[in-house]
Amino acid sequence: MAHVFNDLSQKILPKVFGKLSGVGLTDVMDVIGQTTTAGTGGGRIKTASENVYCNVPVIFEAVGYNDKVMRGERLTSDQEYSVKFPTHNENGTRYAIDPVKHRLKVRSRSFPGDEPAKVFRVISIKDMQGNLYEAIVRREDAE
Amino acid sequence: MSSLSEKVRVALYSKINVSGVTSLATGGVYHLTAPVGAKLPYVTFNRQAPAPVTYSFGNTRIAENDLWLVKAVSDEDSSTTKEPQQLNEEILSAIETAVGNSLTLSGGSVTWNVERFADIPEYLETYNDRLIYHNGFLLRIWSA
Repeated sequence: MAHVFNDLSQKILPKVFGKLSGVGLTDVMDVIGQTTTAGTGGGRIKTASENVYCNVPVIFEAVGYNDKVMRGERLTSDQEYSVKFPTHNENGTRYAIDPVKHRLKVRSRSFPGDEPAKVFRVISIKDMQGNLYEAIVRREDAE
Repeated sequence: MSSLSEKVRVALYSKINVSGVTSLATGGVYHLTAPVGAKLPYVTFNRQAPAPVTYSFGNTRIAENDLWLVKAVSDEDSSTTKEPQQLNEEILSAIETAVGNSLTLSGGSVTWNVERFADIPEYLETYNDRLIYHNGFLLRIWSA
């Protein structure tokens, strides 16, 4: 049974996502990483972000309805999404996603449809049997 | 809100909304709330608490004073070289310099003293995957 899960996550699903992506049925995203260092006053400094993983095939859909909320003395409008992507790339290497450090940036797509790029802030990630990630994320305003 | 405090609001905004402040608070300066889509860091200010108007005998109004809250708001994405608390402190310092000790109100009213009353306790709020930092101080503004 373990072999089935390993084959599914490391061989089959990455190829399925890759094929779907190749014909435009999935989107492609970059995983943005951020590092923090200690400041001199006990706070933290977030250093420049960088792409940790590129060209990760992904499927996303909006879930639920959100409201406008005051945060930081400003009216914000967020939308929650469910984002699904494989746990491994086509070489069988795992995407080590950290919900605290990583953001997901889905690239723009002109066909099919006309979708601008989207930055998703990770709220939580479910690791589905080591085969598939399902992340609950939020898109802030029109980011 | 009395018309005098409304004049103070306009005068205070014109003192704070200067390049010395907005070069640090790049998101701008706003009364009460920032508009939708404003990018942190920015400054908000509002009348926090009134005080009784001072009268002489014969009901002649002499002066009134209010406490005004001035805040710097930033988050963990606001700077890649400074702690958010440090950035806020620099913004507040620039505001203190910009405001000085006096304001000029329109319509002939005079504000003769602006004094820093107290710092507010700093506080945080969470926003999706990061923290927003609020730092600020209270100004007591006397006018007549």
